[in-house]
Amino acid sequence: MGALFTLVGVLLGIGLVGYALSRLAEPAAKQAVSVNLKTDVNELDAPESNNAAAASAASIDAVSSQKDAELIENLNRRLPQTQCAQCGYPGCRPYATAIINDGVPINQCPPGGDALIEELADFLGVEAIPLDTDKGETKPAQLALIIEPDCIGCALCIAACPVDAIVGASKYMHTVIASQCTGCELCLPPCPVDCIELRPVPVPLHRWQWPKPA
Amino acid sequence: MNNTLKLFISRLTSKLPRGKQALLPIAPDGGLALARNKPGLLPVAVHIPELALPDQLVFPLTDYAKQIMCAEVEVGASVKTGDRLAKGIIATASGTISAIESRAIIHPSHRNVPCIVIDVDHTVSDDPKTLPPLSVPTVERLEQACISGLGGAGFSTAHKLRIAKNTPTPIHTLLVNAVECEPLISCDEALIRSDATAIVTAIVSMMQLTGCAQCIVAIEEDKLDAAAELSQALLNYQTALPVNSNDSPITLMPVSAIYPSGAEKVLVQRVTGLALESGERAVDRGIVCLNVATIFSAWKAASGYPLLSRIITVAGRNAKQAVNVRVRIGTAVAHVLEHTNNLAASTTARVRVGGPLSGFDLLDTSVPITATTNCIAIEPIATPTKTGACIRCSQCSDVCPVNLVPQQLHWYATADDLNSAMRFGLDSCIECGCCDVVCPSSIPLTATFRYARTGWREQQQQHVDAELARTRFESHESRVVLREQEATRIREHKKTQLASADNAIGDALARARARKNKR
Repeated sequence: MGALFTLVGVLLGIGLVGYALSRLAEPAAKQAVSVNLKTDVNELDAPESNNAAAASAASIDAVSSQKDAELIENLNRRLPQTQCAQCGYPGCRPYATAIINDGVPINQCPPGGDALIEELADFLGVEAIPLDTDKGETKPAQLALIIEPDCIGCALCIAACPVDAIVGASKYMHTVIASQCTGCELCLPPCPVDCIELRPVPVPLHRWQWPKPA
Repeated sequence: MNNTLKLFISRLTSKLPRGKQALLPIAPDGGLALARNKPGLLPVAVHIPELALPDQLVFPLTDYAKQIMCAEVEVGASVKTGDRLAKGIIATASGTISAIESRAIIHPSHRNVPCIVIDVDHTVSDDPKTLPPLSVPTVERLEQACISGLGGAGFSTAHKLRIAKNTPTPIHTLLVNAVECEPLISCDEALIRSDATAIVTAIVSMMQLTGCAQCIVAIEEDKLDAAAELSQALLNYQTALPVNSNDSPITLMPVSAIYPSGAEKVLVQRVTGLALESGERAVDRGIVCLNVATIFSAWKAASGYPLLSRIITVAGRNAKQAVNVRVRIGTAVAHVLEHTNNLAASTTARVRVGGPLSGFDLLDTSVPITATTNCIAIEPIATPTKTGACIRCSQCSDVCPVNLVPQQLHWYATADDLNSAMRFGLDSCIECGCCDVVCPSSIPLTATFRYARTGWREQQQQHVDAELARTRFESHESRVVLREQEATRIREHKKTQLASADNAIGDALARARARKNKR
């Protein structure tokens, strides 16, 4: 019986010490964050500061910002590169930047769909969440096609294409370079004569896939 | 695992209640020891009959990788034998181009692709010798004569030799592949039996072209007549050599008749003991591996004959007449069946191209034969078998000639975990179908691997496409920024110009005022 009491006592003691330590550590962590933010401000306001402490903090900051840049780059390479802006950012890299810098959720990319969310969750070590369907639905790959007799050569779609996949000149017919079109649909709204259609991507013979056996 | 243990296990597992065979013919080093004299295969004849020229020839406008090419002729044009139709395609008979249209071709997708159709003009003399003869074959001539691999993949021989020339490893060995994978196919055997002396001459000229110091001719040990005739021809060649020349650099090497010894990767291992790694080619180890029929047609090309026809084995359990026949490239499969007395038999059977194990069924026999069509098999319609669960009997791993673990690959492929499947060597799979034969649960293993492999290839292509889109987006963005900067600069410049112009006007006014005041 006595031994049991001693055991309980020891366990309680360990628990208390652990709690106290965690309380002590908490403000320290908060402090570190605020220092980090301050150095940010310092760097912006006075880049040639002579303060040694600020300088070392700035170098730490530079390292962390470089790490962030690498993270953004790695994240960007996982995005589908449709550049469709359905996520609310003007392209895949801006969205990747927003995920890292502003903590934007990872479920805003309809072309990537659930597979991408799973991959990003795996990569960032966060929980996978269902796709935000307000941004759009996941569709099969598609391709823009200009109905050439209807094109008036206004060049508005050329300016709208994020990957320069439309060729043409003012008052001359335009056409889409099929191998470079991402099917982002950004050329549709500016067209004044609605001569652009989206078609499913044709599968050429050399990219044909064997069906999955039942 | 030692051989005794392996044999013991294979005997043990073959007694499973759901097993297909009483004793599975798994060879100790992997592969299947299948009986060659299957019903339907007659003894190989020495004389190879030439099939009657059809009224129409069809040439698919695809290269070996199945990329669509552009036709270099127009509808209505008349062509002569040997005229170029597109890159790597020549007219195999004279006639008129009647159409360039979508037609069914030999491909597992059963899709239609653009084809050139020639209405054969039987009246005009049809000389197969269309090129000036050369004393020694050159790579350019092989290209001109459209010589491509007649074994299976159909890779351009000229291109293969150029690759061999440009690899860092110097080429030392020419490996002549006279091993026919499938137990049914005997077109190479027929070729050797028809003229073994010419084959030896062709091999010697190919050695000169590739610059190989030695040559190994691999042939199955059960092709007794062909091996004997080839060996005699080699002996004749050696005795004719001057006395002071080196030892004969050509070695005839019999290999055991185990399917699939004819696959390049397996053959290199069986003959030289070198195990090629995933993605590694024989040329990376200094070996040029060429099919015996390819070497023969390359030699014929040097004497002025482009590749117009090939030998095809028409056989199978349901074949009325099994025969090796020389067929003009572009001839419809149905025409071959008709003229070999097999058309009636084929209506109640399935027609397979490329042999019973590694081939696939045709839906439409109007498809034209190509340089890679080595066999038309007429096989009974298979009753669908019920697929069971994998019982981990490991017979698939025992039989795999390239030392993979199909049971594990299957697990990953069905779960679409393609990265893991690739880690387990999916890319090394030669799709021989041995694992399908031995599987007691009748799991369609090869079909699953084909699916996974093409899926993986598509995934990689999508990554490449995404990378292109990313770089294009980035250059687009930087251009937009540059344009904005330029616009701002021009705006600022105009402002300053205007400001200075304002001053000029002010100054002029002041001068005018001053003049007025003077007066």
